[in-house]
Amino acid sequence: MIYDFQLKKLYSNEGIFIKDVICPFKDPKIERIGNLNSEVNCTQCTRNLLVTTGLSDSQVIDWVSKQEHPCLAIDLNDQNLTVINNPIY
Amino acid sequence: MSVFSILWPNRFKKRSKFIPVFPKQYVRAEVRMIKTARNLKEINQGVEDGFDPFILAIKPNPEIKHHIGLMRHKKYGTYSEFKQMRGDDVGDDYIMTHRIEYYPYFFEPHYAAYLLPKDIKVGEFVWLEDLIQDLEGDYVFCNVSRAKSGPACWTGERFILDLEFIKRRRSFILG
Repeated sequence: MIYDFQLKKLYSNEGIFIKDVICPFKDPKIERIGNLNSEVNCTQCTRNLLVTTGLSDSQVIDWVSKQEHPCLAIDLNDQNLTVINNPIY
Repeated sequence: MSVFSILWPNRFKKRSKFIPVFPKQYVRAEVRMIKTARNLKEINQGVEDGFDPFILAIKPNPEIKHHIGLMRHKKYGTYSEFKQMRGDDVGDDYIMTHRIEYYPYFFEPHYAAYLLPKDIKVGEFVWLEDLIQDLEGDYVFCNVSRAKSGPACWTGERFILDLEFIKRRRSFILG
């Protein structure tokens, strides 16, 4: 995946637009629930979250198309992700 | 002078009561970078270059750990592992059998040193490029990693780390 830092947009590796990465809240954070259970929540709202570590492009696109209000937690240390500072044309 | 201070002189040494007030944000031009030397060769190279090494022991933090799950095929009995665990659901064909915790890092000399410049002042805020202390950083599911770098204040004897900044810092973008 490709994340555009300036325009806050997420693309697939082939340049297909996936999603605007914009949150209206001021300081959203990921919170761990419990000790061993692998569920993850956001502190600001109760929408469904998907953490993108280790996922391929097609898995993310599938999940986004099914949800009504999709929300992504993009891991900046992921090997599949490249961060750029210029818009793609 | 009591008996205890003779037996354990380091424990009863007087520490400076310097309490820093950390700022909310750091300007990159004002904060100096401090490098770490991870072995003797780098420490001695730092001494030659005019730095003052501040040596610390490396102690692992028990709260930092990663997990690996092992699952077994119901029909054939073969094992396979999965690293990024999202719950205990492994599908209909497999059964979850083991859950293994481990400490994911290894540092070869069990000491390291911050290379201090000689004109460092008391109460100066610096940025530590490679932290020696083990602190909780990012976590993905149940895997807790260590924080790589962070800001700190020099009190003349030791570094006081800005723990709230390290907690606040995130490597996830939400939206």
